[in-house]
Amino acid sequence: MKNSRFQIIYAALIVAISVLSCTKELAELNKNPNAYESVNANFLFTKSQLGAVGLNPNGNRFNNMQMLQQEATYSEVTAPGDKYFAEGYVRNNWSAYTTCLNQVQLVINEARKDPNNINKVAAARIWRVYIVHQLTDLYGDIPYSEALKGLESKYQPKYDLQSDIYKDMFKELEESVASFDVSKPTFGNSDLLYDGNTVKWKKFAYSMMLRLGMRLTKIDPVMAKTWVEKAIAGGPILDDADLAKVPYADGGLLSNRNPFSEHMRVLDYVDGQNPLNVQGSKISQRFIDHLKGNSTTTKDPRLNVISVLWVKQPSGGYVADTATALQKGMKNAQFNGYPADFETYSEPNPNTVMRYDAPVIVLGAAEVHFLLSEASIRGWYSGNAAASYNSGVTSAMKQWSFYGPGGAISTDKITTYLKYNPFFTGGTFEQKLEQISTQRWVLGYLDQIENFANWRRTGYPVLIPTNYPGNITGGRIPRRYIVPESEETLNRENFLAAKARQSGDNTLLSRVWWDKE
Amino acid sequence: MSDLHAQAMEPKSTYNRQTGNLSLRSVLGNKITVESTLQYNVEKGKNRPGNGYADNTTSWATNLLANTVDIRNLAPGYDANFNEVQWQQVPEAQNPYFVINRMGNTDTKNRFIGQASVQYAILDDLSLKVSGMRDIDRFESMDYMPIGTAKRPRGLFNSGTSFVTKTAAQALLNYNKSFFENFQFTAMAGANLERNKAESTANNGSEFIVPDFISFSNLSLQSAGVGLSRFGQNSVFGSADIGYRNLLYFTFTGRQDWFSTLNPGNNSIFYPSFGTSFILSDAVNLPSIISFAKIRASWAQVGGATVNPYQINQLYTFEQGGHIGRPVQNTSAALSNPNLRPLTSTTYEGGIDMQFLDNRLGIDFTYYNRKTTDDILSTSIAASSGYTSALLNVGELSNRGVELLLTGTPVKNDNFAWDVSYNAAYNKSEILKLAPGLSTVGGAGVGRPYNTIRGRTYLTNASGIRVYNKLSGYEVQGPEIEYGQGVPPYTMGLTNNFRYKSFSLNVLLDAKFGNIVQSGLSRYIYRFGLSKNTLPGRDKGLTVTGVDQAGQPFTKTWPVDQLDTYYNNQASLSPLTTSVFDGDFVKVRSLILNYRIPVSKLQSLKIQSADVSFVARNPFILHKHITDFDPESAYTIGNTQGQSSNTIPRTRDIGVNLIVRF
Repeated sequence: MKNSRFQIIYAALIVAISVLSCTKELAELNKNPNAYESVNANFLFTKSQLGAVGLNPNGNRFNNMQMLQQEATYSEVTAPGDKYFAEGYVRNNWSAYTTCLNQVQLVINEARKDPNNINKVAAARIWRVYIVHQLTDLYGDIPYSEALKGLESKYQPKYDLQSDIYKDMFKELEESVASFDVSKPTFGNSDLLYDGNTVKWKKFAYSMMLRLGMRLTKIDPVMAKTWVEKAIAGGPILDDADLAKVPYADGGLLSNRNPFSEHMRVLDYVDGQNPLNVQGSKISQRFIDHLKGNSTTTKDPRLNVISVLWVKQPSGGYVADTATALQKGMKNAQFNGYPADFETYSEPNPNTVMRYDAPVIVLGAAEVHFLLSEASIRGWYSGNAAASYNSGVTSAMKQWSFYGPGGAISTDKITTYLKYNPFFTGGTFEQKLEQISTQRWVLGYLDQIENFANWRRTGYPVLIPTNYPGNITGGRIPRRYIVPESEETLNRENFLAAKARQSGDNTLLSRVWWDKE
Repeated sequence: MSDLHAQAMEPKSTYNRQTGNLSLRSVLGNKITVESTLQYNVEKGKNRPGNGYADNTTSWATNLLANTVDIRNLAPGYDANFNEVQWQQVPEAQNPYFVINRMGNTDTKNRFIGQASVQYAILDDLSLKVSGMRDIDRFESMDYMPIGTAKRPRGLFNSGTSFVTKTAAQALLNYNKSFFENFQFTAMAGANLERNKAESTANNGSEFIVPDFISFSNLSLQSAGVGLSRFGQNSVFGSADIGYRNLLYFTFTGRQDWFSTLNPGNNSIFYPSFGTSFILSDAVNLPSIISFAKIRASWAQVGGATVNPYQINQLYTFEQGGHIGRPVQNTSAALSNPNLRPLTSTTYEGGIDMQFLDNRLGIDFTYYNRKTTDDILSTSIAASSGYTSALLNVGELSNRGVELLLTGTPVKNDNFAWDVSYNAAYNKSEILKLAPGLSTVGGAGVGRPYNTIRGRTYLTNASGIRVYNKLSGYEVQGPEIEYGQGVPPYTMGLTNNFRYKSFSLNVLLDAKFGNIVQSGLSRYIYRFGLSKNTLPGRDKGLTVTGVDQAGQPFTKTWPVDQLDTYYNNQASLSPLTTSVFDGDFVKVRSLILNYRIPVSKLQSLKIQSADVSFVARNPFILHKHITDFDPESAYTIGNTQGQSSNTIPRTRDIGVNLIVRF
């Protein structure tokens, strides 16, 4: 009996000891076999590039493309851009903070651990400028110097003045360009823009510097001139071969498709087979009429690349037709409900604009040439304004060849267009600025964040605001996006301080620092 | 064994469940007892109704279609080409007949639970019990939208499986002894081991190649995923009870837990408790009116790790397929926390239990004060920090309250009895301290109750006059304010049970007070012009007056044809103003009228007893402020309570039961 009692106590001890020793095995349980526990700077840089150019397709179209009167819709709720009815999608670009912007910051932090990585750090810093400039241009003062520090337990970053953010972006570009070293490793093919080519990254950085410098013409012409001149001296993108773009592919993976094509075709235009169009969109009258010009000679050849009419066939079904005479745009804010003549309006071309394998063009020679032309008319560049303008138009038309065979525009057509639409060499400064800015408006059709910024800066082309009854801006085209309410709740003091110093508003009609009235 | 077949309110929606149970017990000799139970369940759901926002639901259109329109006009929901016929411009607002007739979902769950234990009586006063259990749960689900769905014109398909197992083993040593005549002593020591594993697969995609062939293989775009989640907990524990002459009792417990979901070094916690109770009525002579009196007090700690597997580690997943030959890594917007510690909640509790008048009247009163320190929460943080949530030991929360139970038997004789029971509780929740860098958690700051609902209002000037935007004519958004709390602090219930001969009537009343409910559906009811509050202006237009942002008098008349736009945008500007309601209610929870059939007259059928009853669940709401929906349709998601959305309305169930025992 005694013996068995000892046995029992012994057994209980064994159980207790085995429970305690199991605690080592417990730690092993908490390793996720399906996730990686550290940052790979290369692989995350790719993600940051994809995320930045694919951000908020809804806002891109239903706000900017419609506000800038390149698309129209008969729908009400989803169309804050067309009729200024609602505030939808104007908060969504803020998600850059938790996606591409945070990712590029993690890439920089990781790459900096090895001094050999200077090229990676430089490219990532330039890319961070690209993401930040879009954010600040949309939202004004934003968290910057204290942002993205969640990992350091900093949850309430202060908002920096947009003027300070611009100063820092110029500094970042300048320092990054100076630090490139061809002998050191790069991101290689993880870099979707340039496969790690540091020479091209330098050109991209100077093109960004040129864009950002010119942005300040209304608020600080002296500072604008300084950076425009520095950028030109440094050497921005002048050849189409140096154009920065992110490639996409058609196929079985959603993430490989061009995000805007995917958005338009899956959620709206559906290959013209559904005449209703889910979101009620069509190309706008303002855009089609501009491309058509006054006559066949002044017509912009991009019309037949961008626009199609789905023509109903006697045998049933629809066929896309690019013929000039058929193209007709729908007027912005003309309809609030399905119009009977809906099928008679043009739509974006599924074989060019909406190809799943179309690239997203980030920045190219066309914009640089237009910026040089503007620098010339401002006296900040010694080159010829007309020559730069012509180069800009040529590059802008040529770059449509990236959108498949249907996008190719022959040199003949470009020459003819320039012949009948020459640069107003003898015109006033305003006429020249209008002409250059209108070209940038057409160029910006698929780069709507830049399009919105440049239109706010120059005021060209002149767009007649819609004034649909009940709109929320009193018939004014919005001038800013709205910082999400979560900032007011979760980062209250900093948000309110920034709001107070920016005219006390956080609405579609607030203005960012450089957008001086 | 049981078999259940249910047809839901929504057409074509069914739910079946088969259950089998087996219990075994055998005694070997006089020392060993073996027990075992087995349970096997099969559940099958088909076309379960969706809820939430508009898509995937039939209730959206049912709730929001203008009430002058016969909903049957929307049938069958699709045209000759099987394209959805939309009833309004927003594709998410699906045609309910299309949802029923063209979309679908299925799910199947197979669950097996087995337990076994062996108890060995080592000595008369010492026994050992070893037990094990395993719970195996396999779940499969599939849902789809076909080609022609307005929201996803080329179709959408999701399918997934999960295989979840839970295994536990326990050893318990029990000791029970009386000594010195007046003392009883019992002690227990044990160890517990628990392991959980969840494997899952997901096969999703979109764009069906061929119509009406609902299969993963028929998709142009495919994505697949696997998941494996494991966690476990080890524990050792013990307790001792000492009793003195059935008058005074003391209980001590202690427990140490180790959690796999926390990092070694932070992953264990020891928590003790102490309790005592004293039977006053047996110790001293009390007035004869008091038949029983007991006082109790306790102090107890409980530790825990309310955290998911892997949640403490910042993880970087790889994107399926990469990007055209390049690997792509991704990040999470949820901030993890490798230094997370277990939480501790410490409760002081005291109470008194008294019976009067030969147990005809009883009162049971409890006061508690619970303080939770290092509470683990995934709390929202500003996205500009790079993350939308942080996993933190957030600080200190307090919950204090009282609970009261009154029981009574006003009438009791051979033919008639009336029993009453009333319970009431009050809880005060308060945030005492927050982690550095946080100013709110769950919408509230220090000093406020946890789970506060905050939102915007319309701006008013110092004299309370509404401020309008001169340009647009709409109200100006005001600051964020606290609307109230989502959890009712006051709860109570009242049961009356009447028995007269073979009849009995049981009525249960339920009430909750002091909370608010935020209804997503009501916001849309307002925006769609279905609320009575949107009636002003229907005949001659609506004139709004107030001041503009410069303080000047402002007036604007919205013509009749713009009223829908006005009300729609007005509700969007301050969503909570039109959708937050006082959540108070008093309702009859159940009403049961039972008749016991006198089976003694039917002895030949060998029936032991037979009852027939009329049962009504939720038959009446006696008091509420909310007009559009049942105050109890609010749901709880994570830390958020007091939210209500678009769902199938709650029901009043009325039925007749017949129970016969042989």
